[in-house]
Amino acid sequence: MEKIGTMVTLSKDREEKFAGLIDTYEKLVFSICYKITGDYFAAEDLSQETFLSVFQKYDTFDGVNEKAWICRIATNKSIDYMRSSGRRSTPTEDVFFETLPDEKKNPEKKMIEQEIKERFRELCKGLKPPYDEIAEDYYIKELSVAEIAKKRGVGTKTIQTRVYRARNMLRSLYGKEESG
Amino acid sequence: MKYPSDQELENWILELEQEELYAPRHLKEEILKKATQPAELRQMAGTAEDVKKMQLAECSGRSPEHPQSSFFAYTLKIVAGMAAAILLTFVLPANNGMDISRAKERMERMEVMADKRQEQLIEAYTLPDEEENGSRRRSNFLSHIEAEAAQLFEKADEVKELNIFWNKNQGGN
Repeated sequence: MEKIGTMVTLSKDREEKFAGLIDTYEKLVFSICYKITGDYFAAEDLSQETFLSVFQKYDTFDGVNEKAWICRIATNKSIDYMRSSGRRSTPTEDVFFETLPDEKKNPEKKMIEQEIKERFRELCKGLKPPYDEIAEDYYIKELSVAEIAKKRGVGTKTIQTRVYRARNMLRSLYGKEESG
Repeated sequence: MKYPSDQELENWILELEQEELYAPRHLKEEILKKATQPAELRQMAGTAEDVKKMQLAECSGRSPEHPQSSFFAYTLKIVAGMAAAILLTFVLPANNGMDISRAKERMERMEVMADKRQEQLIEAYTLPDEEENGSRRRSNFLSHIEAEAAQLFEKADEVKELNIFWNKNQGGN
């Protein structure tokens, strides 16, 4: 993944504008990254990098088609990630972006959220306590750190540390599944 | 994997939007946190993974902005601990929890006790002169007495040696 360069300090107005951009496009950007990489954690990192790039380069944007511009950044970053990690996309590389006619589409295709959460349910079973429950609360139930801390009666910093560790464990399990 | 053309990308996005799009709930918060981080931190961090490590350091109360000062403080603590341990190693055995003067008194008392014990044994095992047949027995008893006294004096000598060692470590008294 590429390095993010130095960034201008955000003024309050800019921060609000960028928060608005995130609200508008975060689902689309994450979905693009996930569809191309097939990896939840890579999609998470790539989404963050996409928006940070948008923040960095927004002043140079010509303002013509904001959505297409942001999607292009997300797509290119995801493709670069796939190339650099030496992965093969599915089903075939060059036809990945070709749209299929309606009659050839898979009706049983799962939604992204459903697919991700089903996968996490399986992965969480492979974690030791308390990380299995922490991961379930954070990734499947999507509770915030503060909510998990309140539920468990521990400090937020403790939960943050555990979430970080759970994330690393899940990431390695995820990687094993991908290569296995 | 090739980069799609603008048209291909647009069509693909339209198809994708027909599905229910998804993003993790915590994504926005993490993006904004990173976007508002000091530029130097992000430059130092580099990748998104490194930034997460720095956030973990912040969670644990360490100072990611000044790693050199925290390392210096840590080094000082280690050196101070080592110095204290070395000092105690030499101080404690020399004193053994007591003053030198008290150790000397103890040694003298042990010598006096050894002398008294010797006298007692001699009195107890000395036979009257009129029992000349028992002179050999008497000499054996005396040998026994001497052996016991020698043991007591050995113990007194050990105490003396300890005292010499203490004196040496104290620079002599």
